Amino acid sequence: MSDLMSYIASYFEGSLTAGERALFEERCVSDPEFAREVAAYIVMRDSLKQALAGQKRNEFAGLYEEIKGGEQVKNAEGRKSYYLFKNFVWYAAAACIGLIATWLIFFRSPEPEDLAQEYVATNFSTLSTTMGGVTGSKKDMQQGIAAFNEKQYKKALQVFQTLSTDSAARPEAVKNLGITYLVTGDHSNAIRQFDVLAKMDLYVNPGLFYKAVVLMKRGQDGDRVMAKKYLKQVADRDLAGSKEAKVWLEKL
Amino acid sequence: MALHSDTEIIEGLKRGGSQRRIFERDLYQGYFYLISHGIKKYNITAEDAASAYSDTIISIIDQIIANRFEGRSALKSYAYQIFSNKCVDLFRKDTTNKRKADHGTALDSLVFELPDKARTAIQQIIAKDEWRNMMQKLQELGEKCKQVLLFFEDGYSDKEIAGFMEYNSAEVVKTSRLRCLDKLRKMMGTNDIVK
Repeated sequence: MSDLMSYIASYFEGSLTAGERALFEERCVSDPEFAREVAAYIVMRDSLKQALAGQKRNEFAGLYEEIKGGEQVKNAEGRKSYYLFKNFVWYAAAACIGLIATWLIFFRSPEPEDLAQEYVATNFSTLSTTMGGVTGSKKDMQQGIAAFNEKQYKKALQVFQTLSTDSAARPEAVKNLGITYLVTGDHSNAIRQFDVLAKMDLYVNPGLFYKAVVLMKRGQDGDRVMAKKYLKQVADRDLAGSKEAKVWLEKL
Repeated sequence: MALHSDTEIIEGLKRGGSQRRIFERDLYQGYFYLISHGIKKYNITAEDAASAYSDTIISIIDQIIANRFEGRSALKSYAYQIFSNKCVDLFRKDTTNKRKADHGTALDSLVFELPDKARTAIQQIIAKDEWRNMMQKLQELGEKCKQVLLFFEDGYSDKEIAGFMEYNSAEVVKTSRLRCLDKLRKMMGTNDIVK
């Protein structure tokens, strides 16, 4: 081991006195050969730091996969319970259908279609423009939103469809695509888009709630039951739209 | 949510030893939701968000180990702040196609421990970029040398390293790692040793 290496290491490990440190720093400026060795020491330590960061990134990448894998298993288990629950609901629905029909005749509740229509009119008459810069996909998104707000739905659909293949803009594009289908009365396509949205891993995901809104608005056979089921899931899991879902569940 | 409180994580990381990895993993899991948040808010890919998140956690660990984390904010806010900055950097690099064009000195470089004049002199030498392929040289250094240097770089004391790597004492570790640095320095070439 060279004395010079030991001396340089002592400086960076903080074991020199104030006087020795001042001398070391002065030598870095006045002695080019010494400065070169200090530079080499720093390059070595920085490279080691970089290698260490790489090692930790790999460890965290493994942990990332572990956590994501765990979430997928949890979702799969959730889906399993969901299907068991779904069957149970159907059996219960079949058994109680007569009672429900009688109850509906005598105690008429607000129509789901009316609630959904009111929600759509209040929330989807215009879309809000995205924040941030106006480059690339963001610019296109704003054009799509502008077309929607001007009720040029055909143009809006084209823009959102194109953007829905762009990975960065995909969640917002799919959401806006679903909303555009909903307001234009294409309920099947709206449900399809909100299904896709609901499966995305987002911080706030209104997919399931919007799907319930479409089913309520469409009002075909079985839609109301399914809508209630989705609203219950939204309320129980405190997903986006849970506030409205709780109120509607009391009314429906 | 993290399994441990902020204080437990900070103390666990500083305490070192083999338990440190547990607290590093816990810290990583604690704010994992930031990845989804980053994807949505900054329009970056899942891969980029995960990478920014890893770098955030690495940076927090470094700050804590080096006693630079002053605890003025909760770890959650601290993580959010660092992660947001990294996401904004990624977003800007993406939108201006300047990705990988940044060759400036890393902000955590040891050179910043020097005062202004000395730093300028040393940075000028480093900027000549004479020492290339350092990662390759580290690979050629030998596993034991590399490991002892990486443990030290990770903030473990010579005493702890002696325990992990079955050296007789902290002094032996210190001598060994300085010898390893000498060896690496020779591999870098142009070794004008000053007496």
